[in-house]
Amino acid sequence: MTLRWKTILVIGVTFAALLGILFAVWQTILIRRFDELERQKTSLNTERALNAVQQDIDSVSTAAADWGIWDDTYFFAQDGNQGYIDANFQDSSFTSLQLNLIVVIDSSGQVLHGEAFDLQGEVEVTVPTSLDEHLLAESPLMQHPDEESVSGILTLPEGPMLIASQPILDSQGEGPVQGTLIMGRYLDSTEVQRLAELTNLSLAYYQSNDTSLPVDFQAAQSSLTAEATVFTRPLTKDVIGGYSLLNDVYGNPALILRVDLPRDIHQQGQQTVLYLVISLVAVGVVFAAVILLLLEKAVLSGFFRLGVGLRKIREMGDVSQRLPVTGKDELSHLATDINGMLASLQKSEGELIESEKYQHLFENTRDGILVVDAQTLKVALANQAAAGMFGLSDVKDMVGMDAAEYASQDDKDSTLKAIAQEIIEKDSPQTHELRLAARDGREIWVSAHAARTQYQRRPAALLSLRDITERKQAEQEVRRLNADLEQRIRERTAQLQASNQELESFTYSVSHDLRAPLRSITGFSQALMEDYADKLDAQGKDYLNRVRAACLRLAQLTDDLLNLSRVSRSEMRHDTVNLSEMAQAVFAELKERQPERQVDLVVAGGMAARGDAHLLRIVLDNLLGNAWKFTQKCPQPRIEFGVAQQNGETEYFVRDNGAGFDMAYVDKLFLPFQRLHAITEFEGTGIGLATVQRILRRHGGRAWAEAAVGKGATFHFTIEPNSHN
Amino acid sequence: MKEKAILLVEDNPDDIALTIRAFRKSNIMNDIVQAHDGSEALDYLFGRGQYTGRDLDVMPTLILLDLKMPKVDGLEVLKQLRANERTRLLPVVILTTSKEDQDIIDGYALGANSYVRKPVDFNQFVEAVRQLGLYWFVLNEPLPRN
Repeated sequence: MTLRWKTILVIGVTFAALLGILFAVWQTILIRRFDELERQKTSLNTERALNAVQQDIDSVSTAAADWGIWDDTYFFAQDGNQGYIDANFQDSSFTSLQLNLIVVIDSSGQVLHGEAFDLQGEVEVTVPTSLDEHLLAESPLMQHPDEESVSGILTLPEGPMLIASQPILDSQGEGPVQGTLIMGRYLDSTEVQRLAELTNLSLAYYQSNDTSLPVDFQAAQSSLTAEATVFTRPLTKDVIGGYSLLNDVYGNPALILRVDLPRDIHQQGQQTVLYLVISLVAVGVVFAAVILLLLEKAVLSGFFRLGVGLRKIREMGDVSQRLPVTGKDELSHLATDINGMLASLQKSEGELIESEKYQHLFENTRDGILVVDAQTLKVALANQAAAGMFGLSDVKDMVGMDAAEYASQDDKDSTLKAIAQEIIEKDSPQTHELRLAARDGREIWVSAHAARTQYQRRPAALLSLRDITERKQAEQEVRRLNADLEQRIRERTAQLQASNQELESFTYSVSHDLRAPLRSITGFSQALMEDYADKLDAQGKDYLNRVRAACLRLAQLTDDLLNLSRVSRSEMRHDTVNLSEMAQAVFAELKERQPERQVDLVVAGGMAARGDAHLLRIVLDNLLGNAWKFTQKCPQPRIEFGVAQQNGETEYFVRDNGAGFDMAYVDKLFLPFQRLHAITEFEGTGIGLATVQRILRRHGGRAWAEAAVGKGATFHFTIEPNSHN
Repeated sequence: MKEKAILLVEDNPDDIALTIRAFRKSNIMNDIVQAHDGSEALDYLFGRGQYTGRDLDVMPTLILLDLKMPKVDGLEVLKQLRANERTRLLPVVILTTSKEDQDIIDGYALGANSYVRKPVDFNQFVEAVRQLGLYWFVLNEPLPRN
């Protein structure tokens, strides 16, 4: 049942109950008041009717008094003269006085004259005989104490009669009483009709001794007493009856009179209650409508909006949505609270997702993870990888185990337990490498990283284990290989040292021992030339000159060879070398040696390189010296030393326009003792470019050349290693 | 002229002959005492062996010292010579065929006054010797006698 229907029901039931209670109260109090008013009104009218009857009786009594207190009647009672009868007992007397009976009785109780008259038929009828028993001496009609008249109702078989008995007196009302004058009028339907018209009431009567008395009259008869003279009883919903009892002259009940009255008061009461109920219902409906409207506007629509918002969020399953918050009523507080709840839901959902993510990571990482409780030092949590490391198939077997059970076999100080204990005591995250004995007999090396953590709100040690068995094996292999390699290097070094020593002694011999004989040959050739010149002919002298020249050349060769070996053996120093300045210095020396030559020298400025200054000087000496040498036959010699960037490398070049060479022999260019020109054409030992190449290689660079015969040569070189290779 | 003698320490007889020839060609006529190896040079300088009883007041004005010699090499001679009170200040010129940096450095380190590499070309050799004589006997002020 919706709140709206509940509200309608509650309001409806409340109003119905209220209406019921009010209706009951109105019915009992209001209607009773109205009924009381009705009863009073009925009583009054009943009494009016009674009064009318009494007045009717009184009118008979008055007529009887007129006749009875009159000298004519007085005398008639005494003498019974016919004249009185003739003069007075006329039909007109009956009709004018509306009487049915006139009887004159003398003082002895004898009827002097009596006449009855039918007022409807206007004929004289006989005096009913039933009257006789009421004219006896003991009859109240005949008793006149104090000369008073008597009147009342007399029930006769012919019908009830209004009757008056007047003691006969003279016209002055003086006695003695000469007899009794009786007058009667039937209370017949005509008379009742007349009374009804007179009183404007609806009248009915029954004789109380009537055997066919209607029920309501029976009830009235039983209820009416001397005190309760009027009885009222509703006859229908429109008519109420007022009952009263009329006694006869004997004081016995004679007639029951009923006055029928419209129940207008009662109906007015009913109508009032009806109007009240109707107006109350109308008020209730309006009230309920207003309440509902307010409820709808202030509460239900808000609830509906909240409901729609919540349903939308539920259908979308998106807890990041928020309900709109408007106003400052309880609903907006509720919306704020719901939003707060959504926020915490979102947060916990986020945490759940995070936690699931971490759970996934935890379960699927290759690293073994153990959480060891700080107090018990037992495993509180482990992942599959950790179980695998200890040769266990099920993670559950791990939980609850003592961390000591995974102790290394050889080192009691670096067990997992010790590591866990250490991190708990010191809180300095550390990584240990240790050997574990797995359950299945395997031996694994792990790198164990320990850190403090919290698990289920208890301090714990987090151990992450990485299987480094392969790495350890590889390390051992590497160590073994290294040891091997070192041994081999030692052997090689010894060999190299030995050959280096051999080389040393060889070069020493070359420089020392080879030169000595050469010097002897040249020296003594010279001595021969000088001391025995007169004994030698031109050819002999020529031969001696050739011997000397050959020796000098051999000496140059040994020097160059020594230089070449020194280039390889000397220690390298790395400085920043200004090549531009160095080239200028080399050219200056060359010019000094041959000042007569005119060479166009072009040196790029600011060339600098890192390398051994001494060795680079040898390079420039050779390259620039070569250029200098091979342009000596050129009409307009030009030598250029510059630098260019090629493929990310700093490439130097020495270009000349000299003799050049045939590219077919370029391969031989950098080999020792290789010459592309005749010695007679250009001097040299053929060792310079080999030296250049060797120096540049020692630096990590290289040299190459391009040339054409007669069109000059360009020597390129790099000093530092190509960063791309 | 006995005072201004040259001690030539050289194992190679060719070199001895050529050196003497070079001196003579350069008109340096000072006495040239020959020692054919290091030990002989030391014997001479310290008055030992065949030179026992030599007047040790007479010392060479210039010692020309070869490095590579049998028995005692030139550097050893230089070392002992510099270690001795009598000989420590004698001018020593290393005259050798070696051009090794190490030899040059060692020579100077042990107190050589000069280091001259013998050129192969005899003309150049003569020139070198001539300049040596000129320098050490003419230009250079000798150590005062005492």
